[in-house]
Amino acid sequence: MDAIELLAKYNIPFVESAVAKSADDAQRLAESIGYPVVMKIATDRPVHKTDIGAVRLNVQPEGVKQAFSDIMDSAAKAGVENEGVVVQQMAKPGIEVIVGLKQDPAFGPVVLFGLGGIYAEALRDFSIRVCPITEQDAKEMVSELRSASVFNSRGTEYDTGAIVSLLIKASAIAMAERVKELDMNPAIVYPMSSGAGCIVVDSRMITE
Amino acid sequence: MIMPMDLKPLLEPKSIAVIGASRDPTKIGHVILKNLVEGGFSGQVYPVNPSAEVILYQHSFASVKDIPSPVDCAIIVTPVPAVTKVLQECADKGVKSAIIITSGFAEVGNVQGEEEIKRIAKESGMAVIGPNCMGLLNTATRVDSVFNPVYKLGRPKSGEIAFISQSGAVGAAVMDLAAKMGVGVSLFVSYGNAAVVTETDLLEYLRDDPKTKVIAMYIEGVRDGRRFLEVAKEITRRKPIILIKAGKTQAGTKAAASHTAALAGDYQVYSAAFKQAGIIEVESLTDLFDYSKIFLQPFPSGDRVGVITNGGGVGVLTTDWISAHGLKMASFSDATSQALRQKMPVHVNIANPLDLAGDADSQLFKFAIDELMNDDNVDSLVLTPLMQTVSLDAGLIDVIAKASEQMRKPIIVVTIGGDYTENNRKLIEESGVPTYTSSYVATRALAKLTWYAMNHYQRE
Repeated sequence: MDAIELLAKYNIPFVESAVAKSADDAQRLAESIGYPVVMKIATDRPVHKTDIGAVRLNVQPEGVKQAFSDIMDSAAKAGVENEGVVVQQMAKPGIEVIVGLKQDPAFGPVVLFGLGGIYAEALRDFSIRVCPITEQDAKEMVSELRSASVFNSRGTEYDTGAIVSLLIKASAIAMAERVKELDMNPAIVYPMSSGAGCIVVDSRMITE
Repeated sequence: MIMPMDLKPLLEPKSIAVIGASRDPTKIGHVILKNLVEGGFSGQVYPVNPSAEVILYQHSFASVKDIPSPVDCAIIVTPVPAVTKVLQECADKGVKSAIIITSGFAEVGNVQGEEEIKRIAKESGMAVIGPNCMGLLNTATRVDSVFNPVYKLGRPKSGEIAFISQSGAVGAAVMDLAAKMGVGVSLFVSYGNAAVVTETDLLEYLRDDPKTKVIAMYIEGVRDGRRFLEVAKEITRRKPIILIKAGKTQAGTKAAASHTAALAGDYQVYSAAFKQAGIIEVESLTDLFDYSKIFLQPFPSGDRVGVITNGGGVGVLTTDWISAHGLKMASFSDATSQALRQKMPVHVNIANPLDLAGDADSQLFKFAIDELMNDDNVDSLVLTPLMQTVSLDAGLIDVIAKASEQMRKPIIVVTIGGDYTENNRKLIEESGVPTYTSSYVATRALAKLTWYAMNHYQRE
C-alpha cells in the first residue's frame, strides 16, 4: 500500500492525483484532473523536491509535456530514484500545515502537528502527542502552537475542526498500520466559510 | 507485569537486614547501619557480615539465612561479585524485598549481572530496587539507606512531598536542600538502574500512599513509556506530579528520513508525553522545589489573585507578573472595600494591590488578610511584606501562619531583602507557607497551581 492508498483507506482528503510514466500519460491525466495542474517527481526519497527543480506549479495544457521531461531531467541530474511524475490538481491557497507520524523509542507511535513550509522547523513551533489521541488532545495540539492565532485572524476563521479530524485519523493509522514514518506535508486548511476543510497535498510514508 | 508489585515491605519495612554491614566507619555498610540504628528506625535491624560478630552493638549474622526471624527488606552493599549470591540467599530465606546499593551492573556494561538480579527477583517475587542506587528514605518510619553521613547530608523533616529520582547523587543533593529549606518529605527513593522496580511501579505506590500529597521526580528516561504515560495520566487527576527530565540534548544527530522524525526528537516526545499525562515539567532543581511546595496549598477555585503589600513598588511588580502568567487581579467585593476603608488609615488606597504603606504593622496586615480571606472575589493571596520597615513587627510571621493554617485559599509570600528578611522568610516557610524571593517565581508557581486546580485536578 502506498501513502495515497493508505490515506484513502482512512478517508483522508487528498488532492486528486496520479503518477504519469510518460509525457503522453501526463497529458492524458492532466486532461482528466482539470487545469491548471501541479507536476512533481514521484519519489519516496527524502529530498526537497523544489530544491532540485522537480516541481512545476500552475501547469497549463500546452506546458504538460515539457514539464514532464524537465522534471525527469532534474531528477536524473540529482540522482533521485523515482516512479515517474505525479500530476495533481492544483490546490487553492490556504494555510499550509504538516501532520506527521513516527515511532518513538520510548513511547511508540506519536503524531506531530505544525505549520507547513518552513515554519515548523524555523520557529520550532509544533506540537506532539503520544497515540492514540483523544479529540481533546487534538484540539490542544492545534491551540498550543505559538502561532495558533493564524487560524483565526483578520476576521477569517479557518477550519480547525478539519485539522482535529485529520489528527485523529493520523493517530488511528499509527495505532493500526505498520507505518514507521508518515509525513502529510503540506496539508492545506481552508476558511470555515468555504466548506473545503483540510486537504492533503503531498505525503510520504516509510513502512516497517 | 500484570499484578502490581507489593512495594509495602520494600518502602515500609518493619525488619531490615544490612548485608555487607561494616565495622569500618568509612564504609557505606557502616553508615547505613548507623543511620538505621541511631536514626530512629523502630523495627528490627540485622547486620550481616561473615567476618564480624558485633557491629555497632548489634549481633551480626554470617548469612541472611542465619537470621531467626522473617525479614521484610535486605539492603545489599556487598561488592559486585557477591551481590547475586546474597540476593539468592535472600530469596531462599523468603526475604520480601531488597535494595541493591552496589553499582557495577548494566550502567557499566555488566548486563549479565543485571539479568541475574532480574531472574532471581522474578522467580522469588521479591521487589528489588537498584542496583546502583541510594535506595530509600522514609521520613515517617526513619528507614534510611542513603549512605551519606548525616553530618554531611541533612535529612528532611517528615512531610507530604515524595521524591523519586533515577540519580542517587541528584536525589541526595535534593534531600540535603529540602532539609536546609525546611521542606518536608514523605518518601525519597533513588531507584538507580530500575532492573526490577521501575519509576512507574513507584508511582503506583505513591498514588495510594495517604502521606504523599505531591510527587516530585527526577528522570533521565523511563523503562516503559506507554505504561508510564497511562499510570501518570491517572495519578495527576488526583495528585500533582512535578518532574524534571535530564538528558534533553541529542548526543548524536540521528539520520531522520522524514520531517516529522527530524522535528520530534526524543526529548520533544518526552515533553509532549508529560503534557499529555498532566505532569508539570520544570527546568531546574530550584523550580522543582518552587512548584512542589505550592502544591501543598489548598487548591484555588479560580484565577483571581489578591495582593497585599507594604511597599508600593513590590506590589506593582507582582501585579505585572500576575497578568504575565495568565492570572487575574481580583476586584474586591463592596463589603470588603467598605470594611477596609473603615479600618485603614486615610493614606491607604483601597485597591488591588492593597498597599498598606510603609507604616503598616502586623495587625494591619492581619485585618487585610482576614478581609481578603473572606472575600469570595479573591481566589488566592500573594503577600509581599517588606520586612525592613520600622513599624513591621515579627508578629507578622504568626499572622501569616495562622491565616494559612485555615487551609481555605492558597497563601504565598514574596519577600525580598538581606539577612534580616531572610531569617524571617525562613520562619514563615517553616510554618508551612510557601515563600519566594521573587515575584516572578512566586506568581509563575501560583499560575501553575491555578491551572492545575481549574483545568486538570478532579475534585472528589
